[in-house]
Amino acid sequence: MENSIEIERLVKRFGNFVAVNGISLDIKKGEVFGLLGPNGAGKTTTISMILGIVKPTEGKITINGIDSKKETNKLKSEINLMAQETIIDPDLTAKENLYVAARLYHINNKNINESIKKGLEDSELLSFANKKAGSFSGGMKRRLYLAKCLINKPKIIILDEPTTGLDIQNRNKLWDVIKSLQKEGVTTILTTQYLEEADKLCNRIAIIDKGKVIAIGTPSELKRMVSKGQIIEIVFKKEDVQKAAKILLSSFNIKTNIIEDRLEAIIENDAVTMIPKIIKELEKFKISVLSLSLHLPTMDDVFLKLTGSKIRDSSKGTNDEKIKIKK
Amino acid sequence: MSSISDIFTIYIREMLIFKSNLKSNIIRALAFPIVIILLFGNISASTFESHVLVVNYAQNPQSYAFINDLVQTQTLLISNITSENSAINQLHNSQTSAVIVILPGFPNTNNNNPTVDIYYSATGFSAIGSVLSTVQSTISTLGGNTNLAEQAFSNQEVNKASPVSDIELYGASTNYKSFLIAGVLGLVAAFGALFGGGISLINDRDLGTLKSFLIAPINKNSIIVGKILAGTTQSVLYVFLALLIGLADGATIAMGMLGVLLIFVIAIVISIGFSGIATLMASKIKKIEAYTIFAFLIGLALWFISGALLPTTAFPGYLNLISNVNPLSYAVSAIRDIMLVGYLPISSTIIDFSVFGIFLLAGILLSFILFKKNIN
Ligand SMILES: Nc1ncnc2c1ncn2[C@@H]1O[C@H](COP(=O)(O)OP(=O)(O)OP(=O)(O)O)[C@@H](O)[C@H]1O
Ligand SMILES: [Mg+2]
Repeated sequence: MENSIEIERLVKRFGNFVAVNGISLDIKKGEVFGLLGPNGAGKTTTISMILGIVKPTEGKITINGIDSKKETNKLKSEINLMAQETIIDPDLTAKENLYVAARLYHINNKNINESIKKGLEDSELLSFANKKAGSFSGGMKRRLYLAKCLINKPKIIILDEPTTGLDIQNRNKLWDVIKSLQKEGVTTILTTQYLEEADKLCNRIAIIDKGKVIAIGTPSELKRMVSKGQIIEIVFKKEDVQKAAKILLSSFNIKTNIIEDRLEAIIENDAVTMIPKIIKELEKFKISVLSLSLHLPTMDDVFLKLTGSKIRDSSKGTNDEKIKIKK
Repeated sequence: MSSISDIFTIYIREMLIFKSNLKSNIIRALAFPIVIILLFGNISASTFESHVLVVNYAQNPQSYAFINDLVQTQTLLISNITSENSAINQLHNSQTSAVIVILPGFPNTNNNNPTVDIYYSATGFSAIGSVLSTVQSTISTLGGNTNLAEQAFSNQEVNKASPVSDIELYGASTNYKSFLIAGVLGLVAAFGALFGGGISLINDRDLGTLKSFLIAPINKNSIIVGKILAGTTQSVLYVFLALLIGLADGATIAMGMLGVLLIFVIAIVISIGFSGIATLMASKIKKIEAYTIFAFLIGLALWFISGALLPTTAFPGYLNLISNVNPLSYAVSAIRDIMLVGYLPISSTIIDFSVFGIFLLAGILLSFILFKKNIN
């Protein structure tokens, strides 16, 4: 498969601060590519450099075989970005917003009305066409913005945290849009902090932390990197956790992570038959198990293993509602 | 070609935003000028010391004595000047209240052949009356020859000289209101640009719209050109409305329709020039609130120093200096010529329009360069 975007040793420094620290990636034509990372990882900075809004300190970006430094209008007319913030003109109506966007992308007079109508339909805003966008709800604004970004029928679309702050209905709709774009052969770059979202939608994922790619592959490849085994999670009374961890280590040679009142560990072989043995052993020490679960590795586990922290822990509590949606 | 259509795209967007807040935009742009007209428009007289330029062609003892006597009266601020032309120019630019020209035959007892010409403008408010009476009484005491003095005093020694006084520069019948309205038009044009373009630039940066323009397949310069054109259109509209208010309030345009057109040309120049100042400030100031304060301060200061409220003759020297490099001064004085005199005096027109040309160019260049810098 051909490459849509090739990124070579990309570096961006803001003064002394290194926001992107030598990223190299190839993004194939027609794939949904995920950039996964906590707040401040350098996701937005990376895509801003792809779009030419931020100048790279070092490195090279090639888009459809053309050096992105050349910034040709042909290249620009084939790409669009849905930024993290919702960029619409609140003083203009939905229709006027789409009209200006269509003109910016040189959609000719013959097709402009049709494009606007399609945009209004796709965003389910037909009956709000002549209402000021500033009066819309958050979800409506986001849908209008998406319609603006798709008005030029881009061959490459970059979605920067498209679902952050959306309710579940709007999020599901957006996921459907991404899937149908993929069917049309559009290359999609998706940044997200939601591991589940990346897992579900992306053909391949690059995990970025502190400006570096720390892992890259398909979701299942990444999960296999964590372990062939399964993840066990056991919840105790808080005072028992430390003791339980020691027992698991000494009796079964299982290394555990302590998280508040719970232990997490990877069991490489025969996880299911291990469970009764573990419970029995703990009972000998009068430690009771409050709850226990066993599952295959998730993207959460991949992230935990690679960065040593959960993605939502490293986002320093700025996005409490994200955690709720995830659960 | 496509670049023109891109400019038009940005222009349409700015004008649609303008239209969507039409009422509040117009109220914001005109409220302040209307208040100024209502509050200050009814001032009729002033007590400013009158500044008078004297051109002495006679250069004889009697003429020196005459000038000396004028200085002694202490009601006039007398300056000698050798060039009559430059004196008249200063009169046109409201930098002096009157020009006294002492002709070679001075003093002359022949009533039909006066030897002192006085050019004056009514912008000196009540000043002109005191200038005339001071000059006449001074002539009457000349040389202690009462006969001569009496004859000279019979109003003919002092000639309300043509051409300027014949057409009543700034009209002896004109009141302060008309004087003020010409100045207010300058204010409206300048503020229209400062609060149109600059604010929209900061807003676009804040809300990310600038980003969506920059990733679109359009020429970057068309963004700033579209914005300047839209801001200028809005300014001209404000000036038009302010002019209507002024006319309803009793102002007249001596130059007629051509005058209206020229006022629009001046308004266009001023708003493009001030777009440059707006871009300059918007590229340094990131917060709307701070920008508003600065724009207000700078706009108001330049406007005040332009002689829109008071003739610049009332200013101390250093303010006069600033006034001379303030493009708004030339705009206000040109609009005043159009509205009150009825024609643009050649010499001051050349100066006015050279200043406008420089201001226009500087505004455009400043906008382009700073916008480029801003988006990188
Ligand atoms: N213009 C800038 N000047 C200085 N530092 C910047 C600038 N833009 C970004 N940074 C810094 O670079 C780092 C990476 O920022 P970036 O926006 O790319 O992160 P991100 O992965 O998109 O995070 P988020 O999930 O919060 O959107 C951050 O620490 C940020 O503070
Ligand atoms: Mg970001």
